[in-house]
Amino acid sequence: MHSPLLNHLPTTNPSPDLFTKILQAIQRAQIQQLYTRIVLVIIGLFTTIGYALSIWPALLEEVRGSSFFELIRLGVSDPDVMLVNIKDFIFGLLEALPSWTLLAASLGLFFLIGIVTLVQALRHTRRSTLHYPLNANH
Amino acid sequence: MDPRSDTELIHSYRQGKREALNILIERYLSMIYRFLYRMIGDARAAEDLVQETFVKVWRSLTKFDSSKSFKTWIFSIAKNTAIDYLRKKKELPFSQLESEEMPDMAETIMDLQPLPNEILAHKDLGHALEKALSKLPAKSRSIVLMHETEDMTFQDIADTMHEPMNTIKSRYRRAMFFMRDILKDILHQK
Repeated sequence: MHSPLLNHLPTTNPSPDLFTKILQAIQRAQIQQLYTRIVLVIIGLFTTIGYALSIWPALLEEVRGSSFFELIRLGVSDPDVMLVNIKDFIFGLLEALPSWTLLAASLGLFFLIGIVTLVQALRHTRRSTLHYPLNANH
Repeated sequence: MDPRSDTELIHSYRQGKREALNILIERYLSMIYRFLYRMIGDARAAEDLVQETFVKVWRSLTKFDSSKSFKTWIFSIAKNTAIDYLRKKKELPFSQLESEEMPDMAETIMDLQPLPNEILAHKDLGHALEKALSKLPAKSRSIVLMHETEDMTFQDIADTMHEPMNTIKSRYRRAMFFMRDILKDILHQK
């Protein structure tokens, strides 16, 4: 079935710099992807901050009304009592957790770490483009 | 020439070794360029499409199913990229994708008869072949190119095109008959 007919097609080769152009195109796509992620993470951070600010009085009230910090202080000042009643202490601590405040703080921290990591990745990608300058030939 | 298989290189890339991707690009660059150039017949645009193809490969490489053939996968991406380009250029009406507009050759003909020597020895055969190829519908052209110039099996092509193997064989046969007829016409006119 296989015929050698198309072996008669004129030979065709890519230009010698096509490999470099492909690497540049991938690096451009990589940088674009990182920028998009950074923008999304920044939006996430600002949304969290905005939401936290809008419910700030409630968060403040939650922290003030919570016995969490008192329990921590007790644990530090009197570790023997804490160790004897460790089970009750842990349950008490969990019950007293200011959950909304912690959630907002964790989310903010998560987005902050995300931004730092992505900016580092962006710097690394930009540095690697020194081998294949992005503005060359394209 | 790196002795590692495509699967090993993909595994390496997933473990963070970026140079594995460069080796894969070097390995497939000429093949993909040749295929795209013959699909669209424009060297400059083919180079742009090669870049687009490899960017798509890079984007999806972490999701690629390593139990499948990388060659089949990359050709599937290249074929779709070429068809999208031709469609955007309005050289490829959607209807042509759905029903290949070629005369329905008798499926009972068992073998393709070899072309007469006078045609095979014709000095313009190469250019006439390019012209005949360009007259084929895009899907058939990609089947002929994958089978004839990239030595892909009908099963590989069927996997690339996501179609049954018998459909691919039938399209290939019809395309070859069609192309031979065009070729004879072109060369007899000269």
